[in-house]
Amino acid sequence: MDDLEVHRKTNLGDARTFDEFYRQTAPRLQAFLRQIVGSREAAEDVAQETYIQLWKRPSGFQPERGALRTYLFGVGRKRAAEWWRRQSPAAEPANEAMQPDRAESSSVMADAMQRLPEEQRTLLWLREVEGQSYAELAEILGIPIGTVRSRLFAAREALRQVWQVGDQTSTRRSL
Amino acid sequence: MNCNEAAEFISALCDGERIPSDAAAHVGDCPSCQARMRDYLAMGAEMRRVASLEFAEEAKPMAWETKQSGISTLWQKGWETMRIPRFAFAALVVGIVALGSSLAMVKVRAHSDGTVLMLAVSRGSAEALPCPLATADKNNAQCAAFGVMGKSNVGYQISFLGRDGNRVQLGMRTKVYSPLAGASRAFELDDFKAEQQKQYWFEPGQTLRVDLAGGGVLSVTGEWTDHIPTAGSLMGRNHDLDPGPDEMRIVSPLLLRDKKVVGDLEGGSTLANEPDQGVLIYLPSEGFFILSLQKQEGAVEGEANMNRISFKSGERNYTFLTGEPVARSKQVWILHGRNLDPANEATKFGFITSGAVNELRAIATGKH
Repeated sequence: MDDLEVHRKTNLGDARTFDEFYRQTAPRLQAFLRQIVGSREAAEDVAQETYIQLWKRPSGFQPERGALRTYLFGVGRKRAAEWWRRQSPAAEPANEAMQPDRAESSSVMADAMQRLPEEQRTLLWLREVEGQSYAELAEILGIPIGTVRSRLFAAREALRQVWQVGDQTSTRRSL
Repeated sequence: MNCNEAAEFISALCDGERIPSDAAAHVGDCPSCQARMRDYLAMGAEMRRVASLEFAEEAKPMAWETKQSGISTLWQKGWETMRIPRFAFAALVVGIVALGSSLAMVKVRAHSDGTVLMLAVSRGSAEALPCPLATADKNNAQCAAFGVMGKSNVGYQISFLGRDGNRVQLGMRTKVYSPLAGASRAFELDDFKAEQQKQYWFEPGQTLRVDLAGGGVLSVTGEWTDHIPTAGSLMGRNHDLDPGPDEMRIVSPLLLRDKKVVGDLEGGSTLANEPDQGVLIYLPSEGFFILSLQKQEGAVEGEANMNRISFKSGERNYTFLTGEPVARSKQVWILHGRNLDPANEATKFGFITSGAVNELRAIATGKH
């Protein structure tokens, strides 16, 4: 079922169609949100808020502006930002790296990602994992499309630095 | 072009973007830039590998609350915009709002293809209230009711969530209000929003018991029907249009003053069915009306004729039009007052309720 059909049926209150969309997309959204909020539980909570928003206010999606999945990830990111604001007035996730949660991190890459600022994590995840185009990334992040390329480069370079250090540490540990 | 200048283009190259020819030429000849590109590609692959592990998890099942429209829209028009004083709520026999399209309810065979699940919700010894849920019409897939149960005020909202053959998944929100006392309080459909929805699989023929945690137990039974019955038959009483001997039914009333519409409580309905009971209707522009079959002090006599009640108050001629026959008796008494007791929060909103006439007078005038 294409985006327009899902959107049309959701507008009509077709819970079955929306549930199918939820089941198809929720694991990916939750994995993405976990990159932002850090824990599995919080990512599930934020994902649920995101889908409830879509279910209750499907008119927020404008097909002419992009794909439904793009809109979904954009709403999810905004919800994650609100989640951070609820945690602590001083929390500023957008510009700070997270403390890696060792209990939940299972790889050097996961650790390395957690050391990047939120926007770089988000950008890399959406590009490398979700395969979002530059135009879609611009829509989700609310930045000019011309800025996407330079920010992606900066993010890759930052990840390369921490990944290589982490990889070497990991290699040394295993020797 | 040097390595620093080419670096951003390497990133773009990894994204499948086209890059300037001089940058492409440099990357082709430069081992350092090629190493950077390999790193970028390897990082992307590793991120996708890590992500794949997370995608294996299934999303937790979610229930999507049916959007409120249809029956609940009527309710909203009739009740959500009303505020019922706490005291009035105590006197409330029952309030239920629903929409129907036909006079008779046609029962269909058990395990049939009926598309309407007609639930009957029993509250202790009180008569069961009907709750029709359309399984094929999202606009009529929800019901709600509020009323007195034992010493508590309770409310419930039942939603149709899904169907599997003869089994139906129901979503239910309930609320037990604090004991009544003293001041007025508002009472709205929105009250349910803060309550957690519990889900049940229900099959016609079974009895579903729902513990209200201090408010008693609701017993829900049901059967399949082929359509949603009329609002009148949803009064929890007879399935015909003939009122009982002491009964006064007011269904979705419209008030005319000198043949002009001056008030509309669309969707608001109530039933008085004891000799000492009456109905209180409040419309902000017109004041309050206490209707009873028994004579009451200060009231004028009016005439009930089928679905209308006509009477004169001061120099004005009034007529209530309602959704079905009002009473067996043609004689009705109406106490009309301009100003509702300001202690009630309801003064900005219209409402309808029923109860003992002396209690209704106390609500309206504040004089106990």
